[in-house]
Formats: sequence, C-alpha cells, structure tokens
Amino acid sequence: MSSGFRRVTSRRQRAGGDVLVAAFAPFEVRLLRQFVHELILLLQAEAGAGQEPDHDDDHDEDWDQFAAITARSGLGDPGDSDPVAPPEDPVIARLFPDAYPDDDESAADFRRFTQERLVDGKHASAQAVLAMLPDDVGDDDVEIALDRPAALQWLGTLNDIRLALGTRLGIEQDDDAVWDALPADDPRGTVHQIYQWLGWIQETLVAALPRQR
Amino acid sequence: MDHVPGPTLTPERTRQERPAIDEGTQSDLPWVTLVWNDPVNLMSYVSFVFQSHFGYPKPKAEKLMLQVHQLGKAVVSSGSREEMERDVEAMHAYGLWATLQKSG
Repeated sequence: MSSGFRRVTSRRQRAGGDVLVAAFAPFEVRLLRQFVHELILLLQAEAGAGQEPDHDDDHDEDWDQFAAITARSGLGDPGDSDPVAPPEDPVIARLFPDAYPDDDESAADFRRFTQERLVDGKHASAQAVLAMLPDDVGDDDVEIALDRPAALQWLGTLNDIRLALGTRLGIEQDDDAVWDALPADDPRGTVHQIYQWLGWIQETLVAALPRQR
Repeated sequence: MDHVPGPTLTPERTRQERPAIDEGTQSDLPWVTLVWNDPVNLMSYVSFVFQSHFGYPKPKAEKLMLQVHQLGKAVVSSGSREEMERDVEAMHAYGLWATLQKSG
C-alpha cells in the first residue's frame, strides 16, 4: 500500500521548487486509473458533446471493466444534458451546485456562463492525472512525482471523485460507525473503503503541499 | 505595516482608519460568498482552498473552515456581485459548495 505523498527537495528540482512524491502499488494505480477514467466519462457526458469518448479498439476490455465498476459504484449515469436547468443527477448537482439557491433565473444564468468552463477545468485536470498513471503497470510500485501545478490537478481530481462517490454512497457527517457495521459482503463497504483511501491520499497531498502567497 | 516594531509614527490615525474601512466593506460591498458544510470535503483541504484562492493567512483560513464545519456555513468573501460570482465559480472549481447572496 502507498504511504501517501511526501515533500522532496531534489537538486534537480531546486529551481522549480519542491516535488511531492508518492509510490503506489500496481493495484492502486489501476484503481486510481479506473476512478479518474469514470470521472472523465461523467464530465464528458455533462459536457453534452453527445459523442463517444475517444478510445481505440485495443482498450475495449478496459472499457468493459470501467463500465462494470461504474455500475457497481454508481459513479456514472448522469442522465442530464441541459446545461442550464438544475441538474437532476445528485452527483452533477454536487459537482456544480446552484450558485443562487433562492433565485432560479440567476442560478440558470450562472450555469450558462460558468458551466462549460468548470466542466472543462475539471476534465483537463482529470485528463492530466490520468496521463500520469501508467496503463501497463507491472509488478513494481509506481512512483508519482508532482510539481505544484500537477499537485493542484491531483487535489481537484481526487476531491471530485470523492464528491461523486460520497454523494452516491450517501456519506454523512461522522458516519464511520454505519460503514464499519456493514456486512462484509455488502458492495458499498468496498466502495466506502476506496472512498476513504482516496481521502487519505488527498490528506497526505494537502499536508505535503507547501503554502504559497 | 501592522508589525512595525516600537512606537509607530501615527498610531491614532491608524486606529481611526480601520473602522472606516470596515464600514466601507459593509456599505459598498453588498454581496457575499457563502461556503456550506458538506460531509465529504476534508477540513485540511477546505483550509488550503481558503489560503490558496483568497490568500488568507492560515489562522483566518482555519477559523473560517471551522465556522463552516461547526456552524454549517461561513461568509468567506464580500464584494461586488461580479466578484462574488468569480469567487463562487472558483469554489466550485475546487469542489467546495458555495453560493452568493446579498449581504445582510
């Protein structure tokens, strides 16, 4: 298991500042890829492009796997393509909340002017994270080294995945006991463990990131 | 300027100017950005966002974060409606649950 991110000052990086480094086991890299990929699918659906995500035929097996995990975790299925109406899907509603809770017209205007930019930003971050995760992991741990811009992309993407999972799971404040009490064969328990694992990685990343300004 | 050691040059004027700025904040900046509590966002991450986006020093960011966590919401910035829309958009980009409304 990964021990999370830590800050490293290397000679090579001195000019550009510290780097944040973490080693991930192969299964962790696969998990991260799967959930980042799911987030990308969700955002692409929300972008309403109405087109199949780019992928070549070699990856059909992977895509079937993603679909299976999507079905299992319930991260996907946005089912909403109107960029201005309030989202029906609770995950989309959480990722893109109403800016004016008591003013539908202003809320719609805000969506009209910001939604595309917000979706694009989250999508770009998720794509950048995915590009850093090798899809051909062997038996060895994979070391990930992040400069500050990349660390911010990771933070945002980990957070978006956790928001999506947390919303689907129905996470509530201080509800650990509920999840701990689930029967071992309840699939939500597995998803909740992944949710917590992602939170822990994010926590180490926040802690390791040097403050600026 | 707040940390000039020893006797300051014009302490009285400094003291008088501060309330004036606060009054201006209330009357000229009628919109506020609110951040709402949610069970997913990490407390450390919320504090980090307040420091990164608003440039708040860590104590202020932590105080606001705790206010969000314990009271359910906090006013994190005030200004014109356009400025608050930019702040809310930035909060949404970070994944925080933010809204804007008229102050008061």
